[in-house]
Amino acid sequence: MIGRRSAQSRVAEVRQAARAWRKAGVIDAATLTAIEAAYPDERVRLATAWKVLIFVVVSVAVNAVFAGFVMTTNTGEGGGAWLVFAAIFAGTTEALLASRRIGENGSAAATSFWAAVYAIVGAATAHFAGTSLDTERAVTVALLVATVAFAAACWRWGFELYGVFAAIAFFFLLARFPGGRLWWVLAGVLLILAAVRGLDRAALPPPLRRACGGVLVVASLAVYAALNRYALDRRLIELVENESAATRSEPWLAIPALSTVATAVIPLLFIAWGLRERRMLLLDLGVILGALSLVTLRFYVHLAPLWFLLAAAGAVLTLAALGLNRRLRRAPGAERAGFTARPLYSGRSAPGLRTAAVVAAFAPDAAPRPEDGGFTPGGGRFGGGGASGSF
Amino acid sequence: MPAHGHASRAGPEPMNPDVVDAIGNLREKRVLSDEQATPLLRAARGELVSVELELRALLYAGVLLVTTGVGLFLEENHERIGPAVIASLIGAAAAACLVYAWRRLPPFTWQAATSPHLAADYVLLLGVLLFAADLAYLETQFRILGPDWPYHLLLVSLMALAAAYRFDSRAVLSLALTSFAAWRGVAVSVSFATSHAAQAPAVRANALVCGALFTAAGILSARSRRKAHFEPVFVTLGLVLVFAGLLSGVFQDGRSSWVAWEIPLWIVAAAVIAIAYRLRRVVEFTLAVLAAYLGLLRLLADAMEGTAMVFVVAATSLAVVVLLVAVQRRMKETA
Repeated sequence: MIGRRSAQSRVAEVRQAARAWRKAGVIDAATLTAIEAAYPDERVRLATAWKVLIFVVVSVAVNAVFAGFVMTTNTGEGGGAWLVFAAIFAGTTEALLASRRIGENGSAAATSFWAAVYAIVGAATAHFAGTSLDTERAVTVALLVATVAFAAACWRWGFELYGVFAAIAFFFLLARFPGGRLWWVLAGVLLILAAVRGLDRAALPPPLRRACGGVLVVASLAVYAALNRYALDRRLIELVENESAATRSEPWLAIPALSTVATAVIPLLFIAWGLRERRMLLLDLGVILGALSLVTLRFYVHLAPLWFLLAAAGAVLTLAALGLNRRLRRAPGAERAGFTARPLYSGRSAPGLRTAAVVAAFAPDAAPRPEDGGFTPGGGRFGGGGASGSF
Repeated sequence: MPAHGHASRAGPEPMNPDVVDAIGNLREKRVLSDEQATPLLRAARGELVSVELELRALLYAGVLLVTTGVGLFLEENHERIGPAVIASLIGAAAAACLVYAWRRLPPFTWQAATSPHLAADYVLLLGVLLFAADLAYLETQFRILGPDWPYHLLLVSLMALAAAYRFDSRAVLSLALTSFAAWRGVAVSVSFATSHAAQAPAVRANALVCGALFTAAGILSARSRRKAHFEPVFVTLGLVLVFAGLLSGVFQDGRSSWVAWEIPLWIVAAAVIAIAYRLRRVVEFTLAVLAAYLGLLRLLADAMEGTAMVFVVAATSLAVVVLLVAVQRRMKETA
């Protein structure tokens, strides 16, 4: 990662922690000022909304420049123009990040993103001449370039999301080859072990540590998908395989019973690992994978009507959360085995996001206007995002 | 206690090495006292971790699953069990949730009330949603309001508004506002401009009125210092509706009528930009800039074509970026 940016990201980490301490009331305003003076941030850092806005506007600008260039010079085919512009955007990213006052405002994020995308499209287009064989090859090349480009962009410029993109492209690339399911398990396990080590490695700057977290999530999901019973029965990974291969390979793990056991055990392993290491990322993964395993179980075994399962699962989750909260709060020092229900000093709580989540999931459908034809019998509906009742 | 019971984590690589180093440095320089540094160090090392966010996520998922399950139950069983029994059951569940919230949440105050109870806000949300589902079910079964059945959304909105103020819940307030908008035919969650083209003008007008009303309510809350912390919910949702309404006019089909919507869009966007700039309100500022920018793109796309249009769009976008960078320096927003 660019040296100065790496150093500044460490400073930003400390300043962010200090603001969370202030918010939690552990330090006063004077102490916060002293900490910020001890860790001065040379870069202008903006609120997320502003960065998103600048990302959008810069994206429109760079793509319009490319479109104008192609329309003027008629050089859209063959991939050359895409690759040239990928290089230009990469150079622009370097220049923007070198500027203390501009680089963190979303513009470098946009140019770096489009540099990677243009490299992918350029490489794929260069390998495509219209036949189905070319299409298959172009897809494989695109995934290969996506893996390399996003990984390099993550490493060089420190945008952690690119680590996630690179990992996703990497697993889809593996699925293109025979035995993809086996590769997913092997590569997934290796990546999980490597990413866990990187999560709190002091030598890595904070953005790359967070990228390790993203890679850990992707690799864990890949291993689970490779071993999940439903994904095995439906040959989901084999669907991605290169169609030009002489025959589609049979799934590596062709023992359904073993897959069933893996579907049940993997979430428990992650939960146990998370509890032992006190890592919320692993615990969260375990809970999410557990939910996916329950959905898989429901697909094969009809335990009860869907409404009952949903309501019961909701009630169990609610009661479990209430019980856990009570147990932690009533423990000595409001903590048990290194866990607490107190918010601590992470600054992870975001009431604005909670409100947005409620709007996204529960906002009711609009009532039809009278021009629609007046009263429609049987038309009551409340709730969104699946949380609805239609009668 | 737990801190020393987990040597595996207290190894050479702490959870947040930069913050751990910083705490050590700050303690040496006496910026942080030992009493301050000790708990901070435990958290930064990962010797004590918070599950608060996870508990909230579990509660949110629980509410989502229960309401979805209840919706399916009503759909599948209302003929078999009978409407009276179903309505009673859901009503009882809603009442139980509201009573629970009443007992756990702090008493009414015009100021922000910090709830010591993690789950009560979610149980309150579940209660309001169950109440809404029950009301919708009753209306469907007994046709109490007849052709005016959308008024049950107004009733839900008023009930949720009362609950939001009584229990000091921003989440329930957002539900009240979206229900109110739904009563007027405006769905906040989806684009209303494209779904029913014939009704678009009426829906657009309702969106503008609802948006203006919400924004005014937010300003009133802040000025009167009564539930002033509700103001961002009112204003953000209000501005989303106002700009969505104006942009739906700008992006409507037809050769000429859209132009008339550019003028109010620019006036409102300019006003919001100016006020948000003065008050250092980033979300509102970006909403207004984005709306104005989209209006500008529509104008350019109509006025020009071909290569010239593309280059003008590029140049205009770069100009907007330069302007934003200049404004950002003056606003000095920090992450």
